[in-house]
Amino acid sequence: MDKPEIAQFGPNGILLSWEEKIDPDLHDYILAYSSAIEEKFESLILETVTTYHSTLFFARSSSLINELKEVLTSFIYEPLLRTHQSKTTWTIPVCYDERFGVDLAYVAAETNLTKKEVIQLHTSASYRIYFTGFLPGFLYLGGLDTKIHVPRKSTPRLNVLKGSVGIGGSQTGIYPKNSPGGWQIIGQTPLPMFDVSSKDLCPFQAGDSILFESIDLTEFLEIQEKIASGEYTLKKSLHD
Amino acid sequence: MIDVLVSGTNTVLQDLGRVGYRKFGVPSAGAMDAHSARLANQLIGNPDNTPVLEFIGQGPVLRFNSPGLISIRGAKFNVRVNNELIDINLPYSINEGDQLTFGTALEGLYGYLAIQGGFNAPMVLGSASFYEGITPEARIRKGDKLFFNSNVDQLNFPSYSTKIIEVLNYSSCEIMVTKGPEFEKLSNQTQDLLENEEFILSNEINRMGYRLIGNLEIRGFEILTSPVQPGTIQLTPSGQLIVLMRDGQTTGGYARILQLSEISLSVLAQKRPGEKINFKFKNID
Repeated sequence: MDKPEIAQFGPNGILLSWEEKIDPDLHDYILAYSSAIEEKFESLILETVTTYHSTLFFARSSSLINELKEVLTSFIYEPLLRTHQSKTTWTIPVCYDERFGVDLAYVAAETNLTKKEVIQLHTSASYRIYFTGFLPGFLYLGGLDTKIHVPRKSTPRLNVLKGSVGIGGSQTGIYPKNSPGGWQIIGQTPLPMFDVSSKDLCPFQAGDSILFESIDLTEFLEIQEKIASGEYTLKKSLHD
Repeated sequence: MIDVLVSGTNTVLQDLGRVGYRKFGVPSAGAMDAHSARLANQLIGNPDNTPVLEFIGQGPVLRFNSPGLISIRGAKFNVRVNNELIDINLPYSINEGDQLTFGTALEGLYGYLAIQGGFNAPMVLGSASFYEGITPEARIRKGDKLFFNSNVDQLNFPSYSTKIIEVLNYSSCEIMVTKGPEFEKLSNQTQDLLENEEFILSNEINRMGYRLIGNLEIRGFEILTSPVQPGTIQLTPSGQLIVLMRDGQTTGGYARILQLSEISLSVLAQKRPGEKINFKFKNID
């Protein structure tokens, strides 16, 4: 990998940018570097935001910005022996019933597939979590099958329900709260994607993978009840 | 304790914002005009980060059921206590039973009320700043009760209220900016227009973003979704300029062409739709 471009961005920010592309290897590399940098220069760094190809480091105060820029510039960006490589895959249950998946029929028509095939394609891929952005708990996922890429709605809906699973162009994702949104909605998950009352807020980390699992309405309601009573355990698996 | 008799427009509690959760997609939030919020607190001896009441355009009507020392900064209001105009250049000692009204802002948009000891608000993820989905409440409503920490030594004017406090020139139309990550990728024409043209604040303004109306020739572009922050100016392919404000999202997919200074973010927050601004470029040291 090349050395990143390093530039001040904002009164407290130093932005590191690599080649502009969505690539799991580059992303693993950036995650590994960013956490190594965060650990090494903890006294200088307040928080970081990592996306597909860049990381923004915020200095603890604007008086530390030059020092932070210096250490990031002189940091040795050589190939890492140990990259990030998360081994966690989360299973996210989704009910594709049309009372939730209000655009499922549209997506099927648009892609010349049956509704069943759309669900089958959506549940057969493993999606990489690149980062959380846009809204608290909104995961940017990579890996949507090109056969079900569908443009966004020309006019966004004013209110998409919390938990809605949608497709917007080449992306798929879950709305963590009720909000306006332009994606085609194909289902809904009963899982909270971001829980301010929970200690780890959002268990899904950049670099992890997720799978969507089709559930019916009865299962949806059962899971909802379990979550409410605190008896639900997230399904996850570890791979080598 | 304070009874909220009239809520005002989008009245919320804000401190200087939430730090450390942007990686979860949680915006910073915090007072839109952080400079005024700080001053309001400093005038009565509160730490800068103490929660203050923020309101926009139309202020609340509040009845105080216990005495307190208050200070008011930000937009200009005709502030009245029991229908008598008060001087807000100094802290004001309010008595039990007093009714405080603000009416409509005469200049600027965001008003700030600080109280000695600070408003009590639940701290969520390290901040009291209201933000829907994070804090239990997203705004103050009529009938709410506001509690404050009245356990301060004495309700006197602190000696430091007389210290000279830096006053910002809110009427200036100059907004200080540095070049954003994608500035150099803009066409020369768009770069020139950004440096030399005037822009007008549109009606589409809220805590998330302020949209500007400008020269129709400017053009931005989409980028691979990347980090943004309060004060980032995004330029869309159709030429829409969006200044991200305190509740702005953490990542965005439009060219990040300019970045406001912290002080200019407070100045811009107080501008009204139709007001003109121009960008004054400064170099990063």
